[in-house]
Parts: sequence; C-alpha cells; structure tokens
Amino acid sequence: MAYLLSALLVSASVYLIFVQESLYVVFDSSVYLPFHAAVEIFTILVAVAVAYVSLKGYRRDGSRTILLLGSAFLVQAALDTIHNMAYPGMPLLLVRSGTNEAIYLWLFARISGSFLLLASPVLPEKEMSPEARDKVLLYTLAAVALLSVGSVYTVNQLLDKLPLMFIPGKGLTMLKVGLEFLVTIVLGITGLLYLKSYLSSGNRTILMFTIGVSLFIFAEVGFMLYRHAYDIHNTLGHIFKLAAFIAFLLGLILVR
Amino acid sequence: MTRVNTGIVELDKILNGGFMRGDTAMIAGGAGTGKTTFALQYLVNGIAEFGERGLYVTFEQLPDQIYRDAESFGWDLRKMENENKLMVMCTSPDVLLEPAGKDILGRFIDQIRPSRVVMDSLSHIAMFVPERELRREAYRLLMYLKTKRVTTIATYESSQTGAMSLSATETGLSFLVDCVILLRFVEIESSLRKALVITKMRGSGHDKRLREFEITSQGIKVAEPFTQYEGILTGAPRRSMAEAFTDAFKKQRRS
Amino acid sequence: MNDARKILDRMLSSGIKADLLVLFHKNPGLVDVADGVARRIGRTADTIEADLKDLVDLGILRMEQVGKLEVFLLDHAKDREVQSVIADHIKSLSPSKGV
Repeated sequence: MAYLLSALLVSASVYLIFVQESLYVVFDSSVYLPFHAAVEIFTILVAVAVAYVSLKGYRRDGSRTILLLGSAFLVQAALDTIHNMAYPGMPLLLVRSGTNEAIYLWLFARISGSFLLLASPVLPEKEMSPEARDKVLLYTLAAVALLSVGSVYTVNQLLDKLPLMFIPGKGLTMLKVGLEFLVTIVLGITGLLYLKSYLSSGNRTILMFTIGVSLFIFAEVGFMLYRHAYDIHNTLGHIFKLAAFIAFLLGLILVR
Repeated sequence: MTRVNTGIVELDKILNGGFMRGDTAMIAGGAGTGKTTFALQYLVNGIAEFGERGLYVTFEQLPDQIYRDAESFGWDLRKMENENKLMVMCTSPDVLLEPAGKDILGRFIDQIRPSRVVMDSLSHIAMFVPERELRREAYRLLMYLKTKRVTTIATYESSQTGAMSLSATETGLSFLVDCVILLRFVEIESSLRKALVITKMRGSGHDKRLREFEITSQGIKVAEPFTQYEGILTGAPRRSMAEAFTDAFKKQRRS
Repeated sequence: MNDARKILDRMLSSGIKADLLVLFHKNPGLVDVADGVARRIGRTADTIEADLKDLVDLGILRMEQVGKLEVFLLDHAKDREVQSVIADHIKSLSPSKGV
C-alpha cells in the first residue's frame, strides 16, 4: 500500500510542479522523437510480454478473465506500434504521420484497451473447454489484426472525414479531451477494482497492476493538457505511461 | 512387436501402448510412492482385462498383507489364486539366488503359466549379495525370467534426497532393465504429491514429461503433465509464470 | 480318530507351531529358508528349527534342498488331507453322536 500511496503522491506532485506555465517547454523533434519511440517500444514490449503470459495462461486454464486481460494488452501493443509509426515527424511507414493521425491511433488503443481491461474483472468468470480455447485464441488474434488493419485504413483513407482531435496553434479539441476523460474514468474503475482485490488478497502482482493503472491515469492527465505533440505535458504523459508499464512489468516479475 | 498393456490408461499412453512383451521394467521410488500398488494393478488388470495370468514374487511383504492391501482397491487376490489366475510367492532373495532356487521359481511359473511377473523388490537382493556381485546376480535373475518369456515389473526402493535425481538406483541396476519408471514425492504448496516419469524405454519412444499420479480407491490414476510447474526435479517445484499470473487474477475474481 | 488326536496334539504342541501353521496357511505361496520363516514370525532360525522339522514329519510342510539351502513350503495336498482328517474328527465329536 505504501508503494501505491507513494506513486500517487509523487505523480500528483510532479503535475503540480510542471503544470505551471513558467515551466512550459516544447522540445525539439530531434530530442522528442527518439524519446517517444523509445518509450513506446518499451511499453509495447511489456504489453506483448503481459499478453503472452496471459494468453498462455488462458490456453492452459480457459479463464475468460485472463483472456480479456491478455487481449487488452495485445490490442494496445498492436495499436501503439502503429501509433508510434504515425507520430508527427516519423517517416511514412505503413501509415500517414501527423498529430491527428497519431491521436486517432492512440485513442483506438486506449479506448479498446481500457474497456477490455475493465471487462476482465467485471464480467463473470467463465471457463472455456479445452477444445474451444485454441479457437477462441485464434479469433482474438484475428480480431486484433482486423482492428489494426482497420485503424491503419481509417487513418490513411478516412481521416479527412473524421472530426479533428488537434488544431495546430490551439491544441486539443473537446472531443479529444472528452475521450481521454472517458478512458480515465474507465481506468479509474479498473484501478479501484484492482485495489479492492489487492486489499483482500495481498497479491503483489495485483498491487503492481493497481499502481500501473493509477500511473496510467496520471499519464492520461498529460494527454488531456498538451498543446503541442512535443511539449512538456505530452512528455510527462509518456513518462507516466513508461512508469505504468514498468509497474506492469514488475507485476509479471513478482508473480512467483 | 506386441505390447503388454498395464491397463492404467494414461500410463499406457505414456508408454506408447504399454511395455514391450518380454521386457523387464523397473518401478523405482521411495517408500510409500506406490510401487507395490502399480505392480499389483499391472497383474490384476492383466487378469481382469486381458486374460493374462500373473505371478507375484515378494521378498519382504507377506502374501497375507498383499491380499489385504489389494482388498482396499476391490481386488480379490485370493479368489484369483483359487481360480489359478494368480500366484503369490513369498521367499527370501537368497533362495532365488541359489541356482536350484530358480528351479523353484520355474516350478511356480510352470504351474501358473503367467504372462506377467512382478518381483517386489529388487532392492532386497542387495541385502543378501555383496555389492560387487549385486549387478551380476540381479542380471542372472532377470535373464532367467526373460527365458520364461514373461513381462516383468521389478520394483526397487530408492532413497529420495532433497533434490530429485534421475538415477533410479544407487547400484546401477537400472542398466539391466528395459524400462525405468521413476516415482517421486514432490512438495507443491505445502502438500506432498506424487510424480512419475519414464526415464528409459528400450526400443520404443515414450512420453518424457513428468506427470502427477494419485492412488485412488480404484488404483493408480495418472494425470496430466506438470506443465503448470517448473523445477519438479528439485523436489520443491514452483508454478510457471503463466499459471501464477492466471491464478493471481482468477483469485481476484473470487474476492 | 486316535490318529487325528495324535496329529492335533503334535500340531499344536507349541505356540511356535501354531504361529508357523497360521503363517503358512495365510501365506500359501511362502517358500523360504528357516531363517526367512523365522523372521516372518519374529523369531530366529534356531528357536523354530525343531518345530519346523516336526511339521515336516507331519507332512504339512515339505522341505526341499535348494543348493546349500533347505527351504520349507506348504505341502498343499498333504495339508488338505490332514485338514480333512481333523475335520472328520471334529464332526465325530459332535453331541448328537455322543463321545
């Protein structure tokens, strides 16, 4: 519990300090892009690890809870990969790059990931029969692939028809902020459910996932505040995202 | 090459259909791991399911005790003896180690004409033979049984140290047999469970995974491999990451 | 009947003989040297030797030479015969027939 409280306190303090206008800064793309790519690659790898362990556990156990958890991380890994490629300043690689492009892909990842993560503890437990498990896993992988392809298509072909999420010189639109807020609420509920579980079980993995989700909420705050793709708020958001996934990784490492 | 089914379904799968006919298998394990139960079930299943008569040679346990132990599984050995389907011979190893002693064994074999023989246990021979002669004498005895064209299970009581060794015997007797089944206790979440593994099977492929087994009221039941655990051979296995991770969140659901 | 009486008296003349008879009847497949037999009733070979030989003389047990060893085993046929004689004797002692 001390770790959770410390994480929350430190995170809150950091925001209280850096939200001040006097500390506002926009980094150069030569600094920001490598930083962003490094953070995303690390979090993607952790997400893949969590997804792998979860889906392997599902294959043996058949638990719907763990299937949903694994799927949440898998979809985030896939879509964050494309988001990274679409970040403003990145060369054309599979998907157009730009702020709105990157935001849409980010939102696809966050919305699908956060709802799947919430569904994991909320939906009633159901054990799949051994014969059905492999089929379900295949469908899950197919769904993630379909979502990824759909996201790429949307950004490449349909973005002009979709509402803006970012206006250069002005910042984020209300729709973007509203959607991030929705993600924050969903993550908040998930965090509370994990906290409840940790208080009854004392399981260290659950604690680390509670901390991870909490840090992700702080990341979302940054993603509701930024005015430029390379500014301090976006940077802080990604730093908190990094911290969140370090917590998830620790949750995996400490599981035994 | 025909196979001799043990009648223990999962075990026969692990053995790719059963023992090779005429072979000698060793079931090695510490006290209480279930060697005698395995051996008895092999004979009883042979009689009940495959119409193959059996001979049980015991050195230490009296037949009376074996009859009583078998009854707990619903196996009426006395009835099988009365029907001439089974014979339980009790003797000392030094009798069988005498050249003429094998004739007595031969007489029992000629009388009952078994297809299956159990020798319980080979480790008792060590008490009657100097260590340097043990392998030779055990070889002689096992080869005698081979000449009688029976499929033999010889049990062997081996010590179990903290770490699980894959060596069945401390005396090299596992080199004499065609198949070695190791039985071991493992500690999982503070309870003692039983594991088996086939470490050797001449002339045939076999499942090399460690499996849990239990002694139920109907005899031995072999379960799935220990895929959810690692380090079984250390004697104190731990759950695999996937299993532990799943359990953490599944428990979350129950709380 | 006198024979049956004599057989019974000899069979049960000692506790050791009783133990040996129980041992071999409960374990009809027992084929062992004197030391092995003795161990199985918690005794030593020298304490049971005489009784063992007596049961051999009675025909209930058989002794065979196995190399340097003497092994003892139940003579099933003779044992059944002795049991039959004793059973007839016990029947003859029933009250309806008088003594």
